[in-house]
Amino acid sequence: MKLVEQFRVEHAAIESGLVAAEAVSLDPTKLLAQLTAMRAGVLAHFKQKDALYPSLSEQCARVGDVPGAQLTRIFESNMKVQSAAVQRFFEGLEKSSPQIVSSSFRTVSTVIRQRFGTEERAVFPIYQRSFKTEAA
Amino acid sequence: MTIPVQIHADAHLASIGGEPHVFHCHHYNCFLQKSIMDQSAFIDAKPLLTSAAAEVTLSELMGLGDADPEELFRHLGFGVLDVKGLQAEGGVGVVKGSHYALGWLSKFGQAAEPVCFFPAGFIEAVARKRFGAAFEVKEVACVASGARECRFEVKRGGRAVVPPSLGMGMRTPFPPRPAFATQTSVDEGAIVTACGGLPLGGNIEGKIDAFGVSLTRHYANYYNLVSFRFDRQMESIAGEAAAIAARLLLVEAGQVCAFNTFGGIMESAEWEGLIKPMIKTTEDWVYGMVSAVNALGWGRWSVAALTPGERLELVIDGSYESNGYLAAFGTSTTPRCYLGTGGTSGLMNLIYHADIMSRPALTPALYEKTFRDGRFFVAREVECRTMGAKACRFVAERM
Repeated sequence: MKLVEQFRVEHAAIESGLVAAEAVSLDPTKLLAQLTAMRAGVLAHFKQKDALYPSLSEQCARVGDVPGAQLTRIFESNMKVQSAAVQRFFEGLEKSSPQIVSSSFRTVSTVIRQRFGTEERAVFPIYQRSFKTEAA
Repeated sequence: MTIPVQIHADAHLASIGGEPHVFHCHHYNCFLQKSIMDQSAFIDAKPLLTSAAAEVTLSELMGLGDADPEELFRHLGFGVLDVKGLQAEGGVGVVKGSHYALGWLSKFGQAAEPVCFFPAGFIEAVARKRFGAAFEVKEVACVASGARECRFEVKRGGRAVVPPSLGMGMRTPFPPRPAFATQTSVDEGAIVTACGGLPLGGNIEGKIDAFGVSLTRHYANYYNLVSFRFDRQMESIAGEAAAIAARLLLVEAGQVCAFNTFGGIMESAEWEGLIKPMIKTTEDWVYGMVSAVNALGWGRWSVAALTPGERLELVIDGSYESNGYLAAFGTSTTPRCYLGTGGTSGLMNLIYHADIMSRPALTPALYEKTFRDGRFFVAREVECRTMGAKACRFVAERM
């Protein structure tokens, strides 16, 4: 349960970072600085999430939550693609042209927000359900 | 008797016996079906697929009067149907060269069990119309699972009444096209007219082999019913998480469709001969493909804004998905044009990411690379008629 709470806190922090980046998105230098400042946190968060999905799927299977395991696999396959793209974007900030950083940022920001929304509405409840069952 | 295809040129739709029809390939048909069947832990997938087929086919057969259902089946590209073995108390139906069975084999290899759910529903509708009674149909041997032909057992029973079809759905007048839609040297009118003249009816084997894929002139409402019922059943059985997962799968099916059908069209002889001579820029490939789509019966697609290599805004007036959803369920709180969303990202990824101009082989490996690696495009439906908008609007942007 603590993991989900931790993720929720990180979602809020990353969301604030995105808002701050959007505020300076017309200035390539400031945008790069803001995204660079966010990078470590975002990468750590997405790496931890990458590990969450397979372990959640296993956890659901262990407690006999077949639907939960099945849904988690669908989300895992979708999230893995997004996660890799987001990580590529943040890892390659210095190598990309300011123009590419600026145009990709808009998409990356949308994708991150949609993902967080999906996780909070769909994935975390599965986690909490299977966690409670296992604890009981 | 020739199958009477009615073209609704102003709406970019086509219908037969009052049922809207759209072209879709075996990649989409089989992928969509598999996506639904894979969720059998939640829903009873087989009746979902077969019931929808019976509903749309029965409506069409009633609308066509005395049309020969075997000819209709062949014309639509589903294979060769033999329903001479149907009698008032039941009997057998046989399909040779089933589109679904052959498509499944080519995409996924041998199946553990029969996969021709659409043909089963079609045969059910034929029996219901012919004898005015309730029937249920089960495929007992399938080419996809190793049989020599697909055989269907027809028995009296099943639901007493088949719900009425959605017909042409909820149509509304189109707003004017965006100014950007015509900023190209591509002559959409000529393309739509030429595509309309292509011989896209099933051949003697009930096949429509075109653009490097196996096409069907399928029932738009079949896709609508199976997609939207799938989505709703998932939600009612397993909550919002399941509905969100279902939508991801349906959009993915749209991407698979775009990759194979759009890709096949852009690598075809017809494209080479008809559309490519009009193309002057990379952006004209987008316009050319949108023009070709406007001949598929999917509604009116328009480019609303295009930033080369970076962003596409696409508008669909009268999408068959929104027509069907509005007629079946009324308004929605979320966008419902899954095929449109997958199609939008697919279009941009093919042109600006997969370099379709160099005519790559459209393999599963290229699909993975195109939609997963590098700076690929993602799309979302930002306005949908089912949510009260005048048209459905999609944005594809690069990661």
